[in-house]
Amino acid sequence: MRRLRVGLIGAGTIANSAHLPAIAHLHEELELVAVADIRPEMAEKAAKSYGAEAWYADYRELLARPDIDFVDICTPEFLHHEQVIAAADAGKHIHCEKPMSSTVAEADAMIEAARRNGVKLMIGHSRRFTPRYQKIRAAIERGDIGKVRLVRENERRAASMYDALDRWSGYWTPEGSRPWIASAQFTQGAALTNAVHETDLARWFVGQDGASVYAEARITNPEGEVPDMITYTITFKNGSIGAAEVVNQLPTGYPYFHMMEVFGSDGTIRATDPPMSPYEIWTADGMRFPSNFALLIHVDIAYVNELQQFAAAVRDDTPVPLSPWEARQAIALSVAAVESSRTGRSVLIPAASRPGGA
Amino acid sequence: MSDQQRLAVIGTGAIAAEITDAVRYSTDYALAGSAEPGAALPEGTQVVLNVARGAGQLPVLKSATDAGLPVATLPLETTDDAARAALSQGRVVQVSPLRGFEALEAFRADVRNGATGKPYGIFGAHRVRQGYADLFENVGLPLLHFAFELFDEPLIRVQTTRTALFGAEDDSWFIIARGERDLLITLEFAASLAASAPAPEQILFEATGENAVLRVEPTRQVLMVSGRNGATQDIAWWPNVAPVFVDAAVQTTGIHEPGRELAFLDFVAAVRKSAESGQPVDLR
Repeated sequence: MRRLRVGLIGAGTIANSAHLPAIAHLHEELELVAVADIRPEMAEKAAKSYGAEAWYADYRELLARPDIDFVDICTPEFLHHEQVIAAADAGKHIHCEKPMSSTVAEADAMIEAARRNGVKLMIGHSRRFTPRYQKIRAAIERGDIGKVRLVRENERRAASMYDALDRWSGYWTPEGSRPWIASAQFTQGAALTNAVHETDLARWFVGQDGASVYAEARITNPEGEVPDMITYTITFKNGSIGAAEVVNQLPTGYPYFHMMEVFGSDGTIRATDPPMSPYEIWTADGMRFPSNFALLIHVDIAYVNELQQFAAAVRDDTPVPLSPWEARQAIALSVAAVESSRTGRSVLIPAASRPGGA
Repeated sequence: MSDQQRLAVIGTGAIAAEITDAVRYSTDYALAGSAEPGAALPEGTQVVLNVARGAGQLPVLKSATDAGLPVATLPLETTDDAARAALSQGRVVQVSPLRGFEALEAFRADVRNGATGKPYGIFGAHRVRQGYADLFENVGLPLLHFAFELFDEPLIRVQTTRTALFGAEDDSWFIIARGERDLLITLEFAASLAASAPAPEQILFEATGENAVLRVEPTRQVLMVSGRNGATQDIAWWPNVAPVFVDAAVQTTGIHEPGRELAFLDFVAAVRKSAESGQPVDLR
């Protein structure tokens, strides 16, 4: 089997915590040949750590290389539109970290660029490749709980989550400014950065597009400019409900707990973390769940599965396992939630037709 | 003569019987008597526990107020002028029956004592079996009141999504409220559990904040049984909630804040109004 040659763009938090280890895990199938990051020292460090032969401060130099089969874009969402279109125009297949984009129009342009250039585009919604969610989907498809009527996932993250992962990278921070993930110049906040997981999962499990959404959001981080907490209720076209409450600024040490519940006409699926935690430590200071991030979300294997299946689609010239249209529809829900939280009104989701090939 | 407070239990049905028994066998209180709504208050009553439902609620408040007695009542099912007058004129406090769960009562005390630090949000859910009758009155109002009491922060906006997900009647309510200092309250009550669900109900609350997250799920108290009939859950030993509820109710009669009682009626009215349109209702 020929190893596919990969160029990685964006050597920040998600690249170092998930993508680069996954590529290394798949070393018999993938070869990391180059890394690009606007911070040259980060590109160099990632390249040297994971065996790439080249690194660049300008991702366009990476795209100009003729020996790259696909690029793995790990930059913030505000860059995805420009970089995905540039990669498609350079004839590269594209695996891109979620969220797909900052707007629906950007997502549509990205899909069109991939179609126009005949390259594959997949957005890395890692939870679609996570065993716990795949098992839930399988149970739904088997009809175990009848017709899905309500999906709720509450997601909790500590402010220090990525520090606790002991990774050596961090969020890109423009000089004199705050990290992009807390800056209104670069992101719309939790609705996109991680609640897009919940909008995507709810839509996947219900099997319908959204009709309307109501959301409230707030900023809890005194250093932040964008909401880091959001709660919303989505009404899908068949009347089913998707609901989530996501907060990213919990106290240091709070476990990465999720509460996924799916209520069907004939039964319920609960995959809530507290009773599932495989490892607990009790001390005078309280209880800790040291392995939550890795064990409950299966973060490592999820990204391995995701990249492996995308690579197989590239190698075999078959459809990607997750259509970019799915990611585009998740963006439609998340940006509608942002609009609702800003206007204080319930927002209708515009109807959209899936283009051929998407 | 005993210094036990003498309580009258007014109401009908199973809940009244359980509360009456809890008072009768309490070492802290004496039972002045029990009666149905509309009957005369038992002689010697010092505190009235009103567990009447529906149209029976307000007459109890009137007779207790006329007698100058404090009343602890289940959350009022009406928000009309008569209800407002009853709350304004008497020494009436509303008490959620969820406070009968000892774990919820401990959670409530910790949250109210500031355990979360700067609060971020409250999440509360109460799920019961599909086909459950009078969902709003029996499940929704207790949930709303319990959540409302966790913080003193005035609410500025509430939105309700109400729909029929599991049957022909509206059986699912999703409520999002915002406080004037940005507290976000997310509540869900629904008749969403299938007949096959091992437990008849699920109750869950979470309080998130700068310093701590508090999580309570009193209905998770189950026995797992694996045997010839497969894996089952035995919930027969869920605690009797009546004694803790009686304590909570009596103690609350000593904290009478008419403004908060009326504000809860405003909240309930807004929840219902928003349910009609799906659009948020401004509470300012």
